[in-house]
Amino acid sequence: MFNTIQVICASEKDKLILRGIFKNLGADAVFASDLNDALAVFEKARPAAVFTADGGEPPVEIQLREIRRVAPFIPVIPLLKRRDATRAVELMKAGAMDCAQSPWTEEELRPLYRKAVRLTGTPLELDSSALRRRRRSAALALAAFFAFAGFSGGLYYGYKKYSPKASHPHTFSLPYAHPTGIVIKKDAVLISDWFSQGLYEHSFKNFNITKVTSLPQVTPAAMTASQDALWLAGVNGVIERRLLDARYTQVSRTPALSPVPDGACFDGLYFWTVHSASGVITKRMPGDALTEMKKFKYPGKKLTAFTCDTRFLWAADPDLKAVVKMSLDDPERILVRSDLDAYASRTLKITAMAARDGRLWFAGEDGGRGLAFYRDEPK
Amino acid sequence: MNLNSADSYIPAEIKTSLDLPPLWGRLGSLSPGEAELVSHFELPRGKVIALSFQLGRSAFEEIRARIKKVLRDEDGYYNYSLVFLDPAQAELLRAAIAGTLPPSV
Repeated sequence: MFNTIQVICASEKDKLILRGIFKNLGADAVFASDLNDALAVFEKARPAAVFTADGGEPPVEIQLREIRRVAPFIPVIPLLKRRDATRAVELMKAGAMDCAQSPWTEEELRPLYRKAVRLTGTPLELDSSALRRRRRSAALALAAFFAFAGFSGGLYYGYKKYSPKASHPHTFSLPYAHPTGIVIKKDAVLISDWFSQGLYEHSFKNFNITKVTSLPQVTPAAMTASQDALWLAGVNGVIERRLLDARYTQVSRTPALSPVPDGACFDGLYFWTVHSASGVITKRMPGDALTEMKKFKYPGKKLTAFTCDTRFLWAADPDLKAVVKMSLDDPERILVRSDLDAYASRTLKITAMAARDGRLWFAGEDGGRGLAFYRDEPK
Repeated sequence: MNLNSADSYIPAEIKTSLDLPPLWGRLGSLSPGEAELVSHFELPRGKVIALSFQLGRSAFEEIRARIKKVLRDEDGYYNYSLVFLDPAQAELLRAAIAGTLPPSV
């Protein structure tokens, strides 16, 4: 700390007292006998503060004015000869930093000396408590906002990161509304429609119709295929076997089966039909006559579509709102039941299924409009 | 932060009792309900004092306040947190401060 101070004091006795005090305080005191002497050495001494003894000539008020004229911001501390608050306040109004009272002692002057290097102004507030409340409210609101933002962000981040991905099946609208069978070929999807009595071949890329085959003699109720054959089950109970050529040439036909099957599939070894109304699943020999081998009772609630692959039987069950997986060896036991999100639509009726390459394909109608979609096989 | 301030610390006369000569100090901050007083005189917490000071063109005489908190700084000065006791005096202070502050406040 810069410790040079100037002391204006005419009395030798007072000088002696003050010299000892300021020495003890660690100040480098430069004494002047009067104002003229003080101003003469002021520029050279460059004191941090001026202490001036009251009662001399000129009066302290004039000393204050002159000193402040030379150094407007220098702290000036009058040393009063007696405790006079009114005079002290007047001197402070005139520019004194503070006033020391008599008797001048080290204890009395220590805070004044140490404080003398700092001086600014009084802050004014119209209503500090209200301001503080507003500040507190603003701080709380800000904290609440950041807490909410952080919580929401964390929640959103956690939701995005940890919640299971919603399965959005790829859905395609069909320009016909009564699909009864669906077959997945290498580069196309084949769908039969009973109302228009046709086979619609859709492109795999954009699901546009690439070919329509009219079936004037057949009203298809179910359809399935193998590597080299296509089976069409008619509403009369007859199942036709056709080639997978351009015209789906008929090869053979069964006698009318009873009950009339409305679902069919070939697992690579056996042929399966289903009568959805009774929930009867029939295992058949894959010959031309599709001779019945064994009947099973569907173990779910309601079966509306049916298919199989080389490992499992699959069924769509609107009452369970699920896809049901069954064993080929024991179709009366459900292996897996997996919720089907598409059943969120109450008007959806799934009427055909196919399984290929780990995907399950569905065709049906929803509110009078045909649609097809697929999802991954449940594990 | 409220940056409104007087051009210097406001000097104040401090009356502690009728029997003793008054003391002095400066107002570190001032609001209608509270003030901070800086003085090298020591006063006890809880004591009721009367302040006289001038704010702008208004002179306030014997504004009664209670010392709420006392802190001594490293220089040896005492910083007193004061609460004004008389609502009528506080209202006068409010008007004076409002008149002292610039119109934009």
